[in-house]
Amino acid sequence: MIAARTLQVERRGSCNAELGGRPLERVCAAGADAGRMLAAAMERMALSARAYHRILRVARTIADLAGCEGIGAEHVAEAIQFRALDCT
Amino acid sequence: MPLAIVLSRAQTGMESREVAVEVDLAPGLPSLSIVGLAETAVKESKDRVRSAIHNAGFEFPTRRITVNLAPADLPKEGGRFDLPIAIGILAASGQLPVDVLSRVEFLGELALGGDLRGVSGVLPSVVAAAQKSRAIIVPEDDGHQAALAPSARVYPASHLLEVTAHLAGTEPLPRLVTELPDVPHEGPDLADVRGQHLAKRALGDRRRRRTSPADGGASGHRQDHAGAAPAGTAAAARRGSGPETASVWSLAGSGFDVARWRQRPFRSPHHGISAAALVGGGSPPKPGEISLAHNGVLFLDELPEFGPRVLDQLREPLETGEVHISRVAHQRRYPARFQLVAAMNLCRCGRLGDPRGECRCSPEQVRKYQERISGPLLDRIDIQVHVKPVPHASLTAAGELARRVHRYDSG
Repeated sequence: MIAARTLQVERRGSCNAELGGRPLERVCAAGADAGRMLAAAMERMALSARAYHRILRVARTIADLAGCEGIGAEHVAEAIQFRALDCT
Repeated sequence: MPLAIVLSRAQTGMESREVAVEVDLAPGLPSLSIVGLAETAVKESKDRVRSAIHNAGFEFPTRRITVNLAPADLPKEGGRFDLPIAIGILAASGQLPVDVLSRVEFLGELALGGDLRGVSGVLPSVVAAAQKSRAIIVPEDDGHQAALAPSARVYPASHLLEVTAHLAGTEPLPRLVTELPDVPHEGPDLADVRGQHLAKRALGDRRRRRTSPADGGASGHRQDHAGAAPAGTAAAARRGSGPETASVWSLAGSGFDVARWRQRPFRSPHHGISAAALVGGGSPPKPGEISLAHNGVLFLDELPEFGPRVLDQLREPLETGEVHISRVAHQRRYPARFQLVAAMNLCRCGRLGDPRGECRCSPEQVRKYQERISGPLLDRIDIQVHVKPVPHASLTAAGELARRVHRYDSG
């Protein structure tokens, strides 16, 4: 957990939650599968642009925890299911 | 020399601006007047200063004394100007040397006997004085706070006579050297939470991201307990965020315990809290719970029971990490980069989502209860987890996640 946090601070000088704008898009670039899944979720759950960026940040963190370089579909999926109350 | 200028600092929000205390002794009927936008507590200082000077064995000059606090348009409040005013009067009347006064700043409230009492907001002033490469004399009560500004030259004093002896060079005050204690965290920890694996995964995840989880679930399953745990290892996750947090606490007047400087703040206000108490307010505006939780955790238990208007005040601070409080006479900015953790039941009876019990609420009641949390606020909450009832067997097993954290901690 602490290793993941150190990695984030080393990468951008801040933890993922503090990323915004272009750094966010660069650090949290999703793979092809992940991008498609996210687009589908945006459509079906009527997510806002804010939610989109927030999901990307959560997915990045989950990937950091798992020690993965890129964001995969499974990381995005977990990030989306963490927005349980939006679905109801 | 009938004129003396003594340096001090006013407190306006997180800033601490320099104030020159000018004391002039003129011929005429004996009097003491203080000018320069001084509020009640500052005006009253004339009585405290007069008694303190007398009781410390000095002579109070029987002249026409004018004290000017410059800049004139900056509001000044509190007892912090007692000490600089007293030093100014003593220097102007020739009872103290004047030449050292430009290299040192003074803060402190005087007791009638000459003792120095603590004031609020010392830490921002100490930091500002250090930036100007000046020494600062503060009340001994507040000296420990200054330890968080290691580059500052701080001299704590407990009596007016100690300050005058220091300035005269007869008995210099010892410079404050404080070692910051490295106190381990005591309090709730994820290791104490039984079961609730998904919730713990979410908390562990969030802890690195500083986002905002909300737990929803049937009542009595200790969502609150899980929510209280994050502060436990948060201190280990990031260090060095102390001075800014300590400055807010120093301003709030609630005191700052230097022994806890490494622990992240954990604030859990009751749901009856007012909007001003949550985000900050009053006149002049003081920091609210969100600023006291800066670099830490703000935990809102029973989220729908908070006033909807109160909750929606959180929207901007959650985005920007700071709060701007504007009133007619005052504008303040306080830092508020906090992690929001919240817990709630899904309905009023608390049984919705519990497979073993039946919810008695109508769908309309459930909808109304959940609608107390507005969509835009919910949109800012990244991680939402349904907390399921804990099976009896898990109540006796210790948490695996906390063991992982502790392994990192010790290694």
